[in-house]
Amino acid sequence: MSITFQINERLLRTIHEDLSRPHAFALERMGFISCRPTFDNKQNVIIVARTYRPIQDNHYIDDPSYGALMNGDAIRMALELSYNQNASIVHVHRHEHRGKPKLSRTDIMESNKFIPSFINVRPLLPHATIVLSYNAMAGRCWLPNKKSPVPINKFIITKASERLGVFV
Amino acid sequence: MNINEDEFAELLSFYPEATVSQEAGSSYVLFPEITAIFAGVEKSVAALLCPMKHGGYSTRLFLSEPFLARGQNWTEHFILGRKWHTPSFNNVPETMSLLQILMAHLRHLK
Amino acid sequence: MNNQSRQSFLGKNHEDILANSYIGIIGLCGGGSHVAQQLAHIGIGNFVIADSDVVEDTNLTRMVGSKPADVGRMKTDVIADLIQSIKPDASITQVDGKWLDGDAEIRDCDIVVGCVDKYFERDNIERFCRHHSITYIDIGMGVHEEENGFSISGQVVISEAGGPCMRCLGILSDENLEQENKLYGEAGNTPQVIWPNGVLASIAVGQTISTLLPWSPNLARSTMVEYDGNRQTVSKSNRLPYLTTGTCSHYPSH
Repeated sequence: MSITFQINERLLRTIHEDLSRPHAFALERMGFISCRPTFDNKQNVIIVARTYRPIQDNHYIDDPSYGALMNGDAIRMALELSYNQNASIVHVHRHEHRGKPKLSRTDIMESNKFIPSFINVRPLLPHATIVLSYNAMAGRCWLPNKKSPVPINKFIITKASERLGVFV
Repeated sequence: MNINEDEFAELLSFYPEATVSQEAGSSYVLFPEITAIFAGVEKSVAALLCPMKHGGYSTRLFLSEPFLARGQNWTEHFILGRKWHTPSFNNVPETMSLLQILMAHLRHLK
Repeated sequence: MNNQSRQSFLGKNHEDILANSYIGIIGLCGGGSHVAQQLAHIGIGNFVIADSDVVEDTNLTRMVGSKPADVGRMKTDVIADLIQSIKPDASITQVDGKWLDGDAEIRDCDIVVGCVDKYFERDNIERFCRHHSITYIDIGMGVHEEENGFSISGQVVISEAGGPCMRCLGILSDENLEQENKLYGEAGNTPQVIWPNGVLASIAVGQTISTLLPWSPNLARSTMVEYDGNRQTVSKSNRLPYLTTGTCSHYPSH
């Protein structure tokens, strides 16, 4: 089974703009994307990004050993989003470089701690964490009823303002 | 209408990867790959057979790609999560066995 | 105070929600043009619009935003211009061919509004939306010859996961699909006029906004609303009480 993350270019731009904002002490910003999961004809999962919620400034913890650390309020907000909207939640942050990013050991350790909370709230939906670079992304997805996360294999960026199809 | 088990077993002996699915009140047999002559050329395509009334047709065969040199009025349909193509070809009766229905549709596209 | 102030009853964050919503409109003539215009006015920020046709002379009587100089232009271009004239910062993806050519983009949509003529296309769109758990709002309108004149009628249907589909409601059936097939190539130009399209489109827009921004806990969002253009009535369908359950056997939830 493959996992695809789909996001519209406009939403992605909004996320990049938010992640670019400086923070008083956090070196990186983070946010949550609420998503609608679906699947293709071969039961491969497609996670379609819907809306972005930045983590509020006062929901970061001042800990110099982390680039960015969020507090319980940030997670609670995302849990409510997941529950109220019946949404898959994708945690997002960015590494400041071009090219294919890679989740760091800290990214993996931290997401292993908080993503299970989303599974508890909406256990029948996939939830994920992704890391952006300036021009690429990577991520891991927790599927319903699966113990360990799996890599997100494919990323689709749908264009805003595009012409498609051939007029015959 | 459910798929006849004996007929499906017969089909499986030729197409062991065939599966049955339901959508919108119809049953379909999905073939991940069928190799046959389409428009004079041997080709492997995915196929979806509806062996019962479907949108005014007595039975219908959908393919993963159109073969415009055969059949007329090819249309696109979204069924079971993907796009399918089918020509306007009617009157392959649902009273035939699954295998016979499939063969009749394939013969039309040779 | 800004241009959305009078919509403030839609909620504190209504501007953001509208600006970040993605609406698909398939079919851009009689019904779809009204829908696009109204949604642009309300403040929807992202559109995926699909129609493979060009504007014809006979469309001018009912395609909002069209003018004689548009004859021969792609309908998607005309409606994109219309949306942009109202909301210049809207993002608009135009699907000029078959709507399935834009399947990934339509998958982005929160809601798809279908304003198509053919049952076959309704069936396809509903299957797509049900598969991807997208709310589908379908508009249908017809002018029917009767003994002593004509009747105008139509309906707006919401088809979404967990609720009845258009087959449950009798809008789609093998019989009407078969009838449509028989008429293929023989179908004349079915009568169409602007004002019933406007009524039905407005209902559909109301259903769209009530889905995105329910402004009251007492909102009765009806699965099917019927319009009788001769009696001048709009009402909840009387088919609804005859549904044995509220759930759909044609599209089991996944």
